[in-house]
Amino acid sequence: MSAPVLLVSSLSKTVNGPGGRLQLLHDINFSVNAGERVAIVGASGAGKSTLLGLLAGLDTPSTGSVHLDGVSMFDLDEDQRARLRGDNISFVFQSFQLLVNLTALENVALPLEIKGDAGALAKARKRLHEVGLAERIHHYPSQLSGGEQQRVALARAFVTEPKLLFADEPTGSLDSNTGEAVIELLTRLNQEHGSTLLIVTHDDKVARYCQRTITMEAGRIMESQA
Amino acid sequence: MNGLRLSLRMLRRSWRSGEIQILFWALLIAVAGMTAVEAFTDRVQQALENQASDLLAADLVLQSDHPIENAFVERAQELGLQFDFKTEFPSIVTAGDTLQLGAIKAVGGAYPLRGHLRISDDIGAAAVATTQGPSPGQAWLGARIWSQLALDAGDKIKLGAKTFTVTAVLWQEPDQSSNFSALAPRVMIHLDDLAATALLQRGSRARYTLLLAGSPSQLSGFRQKAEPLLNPDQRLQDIRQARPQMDIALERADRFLALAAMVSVVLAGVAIVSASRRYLSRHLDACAVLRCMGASYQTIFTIIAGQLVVAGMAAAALGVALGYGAQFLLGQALAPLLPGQLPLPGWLPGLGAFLLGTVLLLSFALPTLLQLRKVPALRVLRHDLGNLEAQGITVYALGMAVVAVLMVWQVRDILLVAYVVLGVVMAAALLYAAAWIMIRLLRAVPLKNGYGWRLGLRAMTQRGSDTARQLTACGIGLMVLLLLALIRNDLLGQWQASLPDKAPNQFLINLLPDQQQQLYGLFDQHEVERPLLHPTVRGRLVAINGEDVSKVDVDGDHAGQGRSTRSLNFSFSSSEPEYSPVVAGRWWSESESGLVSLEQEFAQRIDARIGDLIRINVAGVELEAEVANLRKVEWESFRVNFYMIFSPDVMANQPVTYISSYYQPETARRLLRDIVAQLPNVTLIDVGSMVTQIKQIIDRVTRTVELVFIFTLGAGGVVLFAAIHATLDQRIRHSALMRALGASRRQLNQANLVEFIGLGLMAGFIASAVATVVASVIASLLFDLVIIINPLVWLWGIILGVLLVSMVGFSATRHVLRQPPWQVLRTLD
Repeated sequence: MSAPVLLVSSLSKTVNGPGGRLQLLHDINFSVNAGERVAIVGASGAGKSTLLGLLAGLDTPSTGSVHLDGVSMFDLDEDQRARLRGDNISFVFQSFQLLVNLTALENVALPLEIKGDAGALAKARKRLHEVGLAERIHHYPSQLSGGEQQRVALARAFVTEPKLLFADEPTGSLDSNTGEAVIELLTRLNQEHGSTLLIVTHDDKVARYCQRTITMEAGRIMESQA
Repeated sequence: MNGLRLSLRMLRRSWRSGEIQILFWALLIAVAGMTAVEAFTDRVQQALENQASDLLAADLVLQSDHPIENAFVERAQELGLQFDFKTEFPSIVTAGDTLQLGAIKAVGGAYPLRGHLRISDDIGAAAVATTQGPSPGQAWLGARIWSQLALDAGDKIKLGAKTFTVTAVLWQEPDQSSNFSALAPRVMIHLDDLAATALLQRGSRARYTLLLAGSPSQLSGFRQKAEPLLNPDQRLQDIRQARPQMDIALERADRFLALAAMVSVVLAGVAIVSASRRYLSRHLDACAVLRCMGASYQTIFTIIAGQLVVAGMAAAALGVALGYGAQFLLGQALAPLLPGQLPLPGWLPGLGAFLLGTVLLLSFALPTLLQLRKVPALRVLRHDLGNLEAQGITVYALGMAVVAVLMVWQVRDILLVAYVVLGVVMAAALLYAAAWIMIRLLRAVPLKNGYGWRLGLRAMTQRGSDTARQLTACGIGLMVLLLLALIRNDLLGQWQASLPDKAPNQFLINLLPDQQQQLYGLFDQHEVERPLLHPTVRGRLVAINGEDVSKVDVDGDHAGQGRSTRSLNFSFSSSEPEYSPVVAGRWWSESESGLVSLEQEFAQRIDARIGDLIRINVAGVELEAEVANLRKVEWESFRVNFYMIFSPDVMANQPVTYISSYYQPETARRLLRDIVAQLPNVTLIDVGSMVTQIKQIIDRVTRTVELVFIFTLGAGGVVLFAAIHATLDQRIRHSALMRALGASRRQLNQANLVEFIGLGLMAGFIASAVATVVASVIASLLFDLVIIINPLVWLWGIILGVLLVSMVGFSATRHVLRQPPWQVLRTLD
């Protein structure tokens, strides 16, 4: 196995709730190696999404650290973290999170354009072709079905050749057939691009596509199995 | 720059989805309104002042008690100003064996520089206009002295050492004095003949005037250079100082137009706040996604704010173009009414309005846009994070201050801007508070019957702070419209009322007590309504409460030109004057004595209060009276008015003459001749031409005000639209959800109807209340008007509120109800 692309140490998160302090995550420790496909599973409220937010540097922990490719994320400021994400990470969301004002092509090209890539549109076109949407590149999100929107989101996620891809319930808004097709596509693209995949899901079927499963319960890792 | 390119790309779509359009239209209307009003009023102002200058026969005059020094003439020449002279003095006119005292006026060849004279060949002939005075050797005489000397055209008269040929009856001069205190009948001659009369020697009493005409910059240049050279007996006057009546009319018109323009700016500000809020709330998810993709805050800000800025600048630029177009059309529409060619508008109003538009956009959108910083990337996972916070009005303080500074620069009236800004802030606070109270009250209403009703009312009360904000925005829109309508009606109404069709056009002075019946007889004979005669006594104000006031300037602004600072016309009366109502204290009864009534502004100038003892000197006799009340006087009404009216006992046994102003129809011109012939001691002053000129100006200003009002209406409409659209997404989502849950279209229509009618009703009600208060304050502080609020305003406010809000609301939500709810929900996700 190669060196860990993601190293999580003693991570915890506490928030102030109406009933006092609430610990959402307790002392989380694990690592993910490059090229690995890992599923984080658990029931609603187990802390999966909170963990994902911290792993991706979208939120800050109460204690602990996350190293991405050797860089300690929480030693960076917000803009530096954003740049780190832009260079290394991509996301796929349950609710697709496409920008309604941009076409499929423009949505896919967006992360490259933010980085100032001159060939953004050509690369985006190629990715859309890969996900089978070559005919629909000029459609706006509202003109696409749910499955199609998620395929656009996949194309967008892979267009930057990310080291690490986070997927948050990627099939949660889709029917089972479409969901399965999307997860197959996600796995295929992951293999082709050699990126590391971390999927948060409550669906065991989705977890089966991964090499390792981390199970969470009440903010703790209960088991980690290959 | 990537951010900007992305921003432009998103702008196309944002525009099509309508998010940016409201902001665009609000700015477009505000900038167009400001450009049009400023460019147009600039032009009209110039034209009006040109016309008003007719009343001075020049744009600017320098008056002096001794011959004008060459230094002034040289300055005028340096600046390229047009100039000429006139010299006025009293002298005896001889025609054969008859002698008469005449007011001699010697004028140069270019006189009058503005306006025209009216003359006729004979006393019975029709008068014609001319733009030149008499040629050397000729004399033109006023109708009265013409009759008194029994002249015919071609007769000779003698003035001092020179003989003149009488060639015309002089009916009207542009610079006819409104001062009737010591006016003899007019004799006009050419200035070149003055020396030959040998009438003016060193020390002779005469008034020398340098008349000047030119562009505003030439005139202000002259003012700057001439002011340090002025002697104490010399003064510079333009139309505003010379004719306070005109000043009042022009100043009010200026203020109203500026107010209307500023109101469209303020309305645009409100619309921008509403529109930018909705715009940003629709971009919160995009911000979070961009953040996830590694975009820096600066890039995100450029992408999101860039769209608004680009659209706003385009709107401002188009607004300037539209404004110039509109002012051109306004000019065309008014062209037949305006004297001569309207001067071309300058580029400054356009530049000013563009800047104002840009600043307006930045100031009012920026506080909302800055909330972008608070949108966390985590929002991609947790939708409840980073929603827009409610913002208080203080957030906009800096923006309002900047806009206020620019407005001051545009309209050059710091007081007006201060009142508008303070008024809007206070009105907004009042509206917000009232809205909160009403929402609280509505929450307490038990809802039993009708599902649609319940849905509608609950929607309003549940979105409490949104509803309050919406009510405030709608309320401001409505309030401003009502406010402007109220002030406009009163302003126009009072202008028209101050100069009715039969406004007095003749002043009559020096009538002796035993001539009253004879005068009435003449009026009856010519079938002209008998005039109201006011007794008058000349005297001086000596002391107040025993303290010497002989040094106090009693003239103030309304005294007209040339009045002695201490000599005044007093009157006495047992009854309160009809046109000059008591505003403090009370009028005296028949049994009371030793009292005096003061005009309120005069009282302020001499620092006299009710209960003070006033001492006057009449023909060497000192008289005392206690101040019983203060009166208000409409100085622009052309009626006889007095600073001081005494109870009759005070003036008993004093030498009284009578004074009157009356309306003489054009058909009764011979009345004038008969009065002059039969009552030779009486002096008549024809102010008809002045009244006509002022009436024309008021008519024109009225039309301008009406046209400019249309812009403000447009701005008000956009505000309402923006306010309703601000919560449109919530409303649409709610409707779609309700439909998905089985609510019928009818039920939802009913719910929307209840909500919109409720919103309109409350906004209209609150707006009427606030408008009533603010209108009274503005009217009295800025326009010196006492507004009598028509109770129908409340009705109109409510009807307008309900109609406009329902119409805008329905047009926005109607199409949503026709679409399948699933599609709507997906579009919004």
